[in-house]
Amino acid sequence: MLFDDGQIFCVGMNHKTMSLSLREKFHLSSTKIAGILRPIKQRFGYRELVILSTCNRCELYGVADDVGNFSEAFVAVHDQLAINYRDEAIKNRLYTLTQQQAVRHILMVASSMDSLIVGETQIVNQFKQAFVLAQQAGTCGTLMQQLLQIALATAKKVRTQTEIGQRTVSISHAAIVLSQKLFANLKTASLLVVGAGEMAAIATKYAVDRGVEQLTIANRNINRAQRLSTKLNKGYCRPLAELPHALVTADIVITATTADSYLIDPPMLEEVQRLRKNRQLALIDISLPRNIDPACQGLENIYLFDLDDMKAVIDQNTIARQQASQQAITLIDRGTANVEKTFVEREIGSAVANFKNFLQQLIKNQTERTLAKSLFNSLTAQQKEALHNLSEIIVNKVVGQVSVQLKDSTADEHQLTAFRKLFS
Amino acid sequence: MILITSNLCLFAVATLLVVAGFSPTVRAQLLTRCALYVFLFGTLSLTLTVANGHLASGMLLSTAIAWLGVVAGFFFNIRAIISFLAPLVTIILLAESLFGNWATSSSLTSGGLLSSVHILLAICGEAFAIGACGLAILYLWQRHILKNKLLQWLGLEIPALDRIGSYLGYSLWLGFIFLTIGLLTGALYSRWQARPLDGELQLKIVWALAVWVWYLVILVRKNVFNGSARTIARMSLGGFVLLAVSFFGLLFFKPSLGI
Repeated sequence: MLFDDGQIFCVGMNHKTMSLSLREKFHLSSTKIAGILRPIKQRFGYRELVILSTCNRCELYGVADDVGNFSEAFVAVHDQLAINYRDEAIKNRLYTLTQQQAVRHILMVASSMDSLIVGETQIVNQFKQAFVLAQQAGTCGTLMQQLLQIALATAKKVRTQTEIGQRTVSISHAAIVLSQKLFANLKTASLLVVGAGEMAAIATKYAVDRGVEQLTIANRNINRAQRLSTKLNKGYCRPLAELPHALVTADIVITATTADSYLIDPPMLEEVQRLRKNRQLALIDISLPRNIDPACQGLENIYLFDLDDMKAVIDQNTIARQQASQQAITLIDRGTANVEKTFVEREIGSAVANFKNFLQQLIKNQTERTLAKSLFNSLTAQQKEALHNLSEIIVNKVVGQVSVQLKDSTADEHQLTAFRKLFS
Repeated sequence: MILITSNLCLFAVATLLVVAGFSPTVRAQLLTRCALYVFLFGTLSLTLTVANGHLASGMLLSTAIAWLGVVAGFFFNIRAIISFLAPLVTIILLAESLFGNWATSSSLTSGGLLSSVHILLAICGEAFAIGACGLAILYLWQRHILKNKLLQWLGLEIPALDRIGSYLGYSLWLGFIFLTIGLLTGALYSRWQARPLDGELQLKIVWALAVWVWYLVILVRKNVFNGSARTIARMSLGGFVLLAVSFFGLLFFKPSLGI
């Protein structure tokens, strides 16, 4: 690893290492982060520090001069907020990554490959926001800036060059995907949910989160429907007996009840479609046993999808996701190598500049000392100037040659390390 | 001729890219995006060619269709329509370069203002009718995927059925309005010229009227009798066949007429 110019580290916890109840306690608001960045950086002597806190993770990214106990900084972040989580059980759930591993992890996070829902896009904004806060607090330097640029570029590549973001794997999502093939704008579509159980609640919440505004919940037990409606702060409730009336105004119907017979059949739909002036209707049956007679699919402008169809969409997405994950990992590895290359080039540039200064100073001193001798008193100002120019040319030639050789031999770690140690 | 050939090549490349990108994968989506940009470039080139004085009816029609495709692809995000319009423009340009009568290419400017308005409106009407056909194909295609549960094709960038249906309606209305005004200005022009209609011209009028009546029937079916979107889409395809016969039929067999 060639990050000799400081230790890049990442310390924190995420949804893989801590439960939701613990993650909640570690969550930091933007205001809190803005207030603690500078004190923590100064207390631990870090060169750079960025704090990312989302509902699924709280991580510190930074650059330190030496290897240290970075988890102390993480605990200190929460100490400053008067939260005491110093017990070993929690400490053991923290992870610390350094150098290449840290860079790779940061790229994984930015690309949403480490998210709870892989491929979600919210993380990019959260990631940018974390760096903005650090910039405002003056704790984000050039190394972190470069890392941010490469991480965002990698995230964009992962998003645009793989199918990772387009493929999610839940029944609710599959239902929404299918509905959106019929109704482009969920805000203007009217959703009727038949049932108010757990599955119905999950699907309804997902649909509401995706923008559904016109919601009707039909259930045998109207109180239960009302509870769901209150929980979502949205929706109009109807008893199951009014299902045909509710169908007339619906665009998308999701059925999720435990009824053991069909609730919707072709004769009912034919009558409903007559009243609807034959508008298209999406029927999504996620119940088992099924609530909608499969024969309904044969009716004009009726599009029926059942659990098997959801499964087909999910299976397809799972396979595509596995392929996309591999592609994404390749992109992240390339990004990590890119970070390494950028940092090495930066360090070589700095070392070469120091080497040049050293040579210039050396030759200047030696030339002046030599010219001061009586032997050279007869030299004119022009001749002395020519000598200075000659020495400058020699310095440039030597430095140029060294620079080329160093860049050509980036694989030779020892040579680079020795050079940096001599001239950094 | 060189200009037409280069335009032809651009649209042929766009067609090839669209065909190569006919798959629900990300790589295919990239190809479709490339096709869209080549299509845009072709459209700009075609517009420059027309602006340079190449006013043959085939050139005008393909320019109108190409712009319709650009608007649909870039402003309404209906990229898939390029898969229909790119080959169509290629075929029209090919027909124009092989069979087009260059003697009629100045008819837009030679017949006075009324004649120019008539030709331009008729061409716009035809372009919208062709656009409607493209949308009808997309509608039937998406419907086929959803009805037959061909879920492996869900990744194709085809808009939602309701959106295609509403765009189809607008396209039919605009096409019909342009065709109607085009026919009216044509009739006025003939009356003003007081020129007896020859047999060829009568044939052209019969076809134009047939197309107009067909689109009237579609709109009545849609708006008065609440015809299902599938029926409207199928009828739009029928309208395109009528248009194609009137355009290509006249172009091939009565080249002196153009459109």
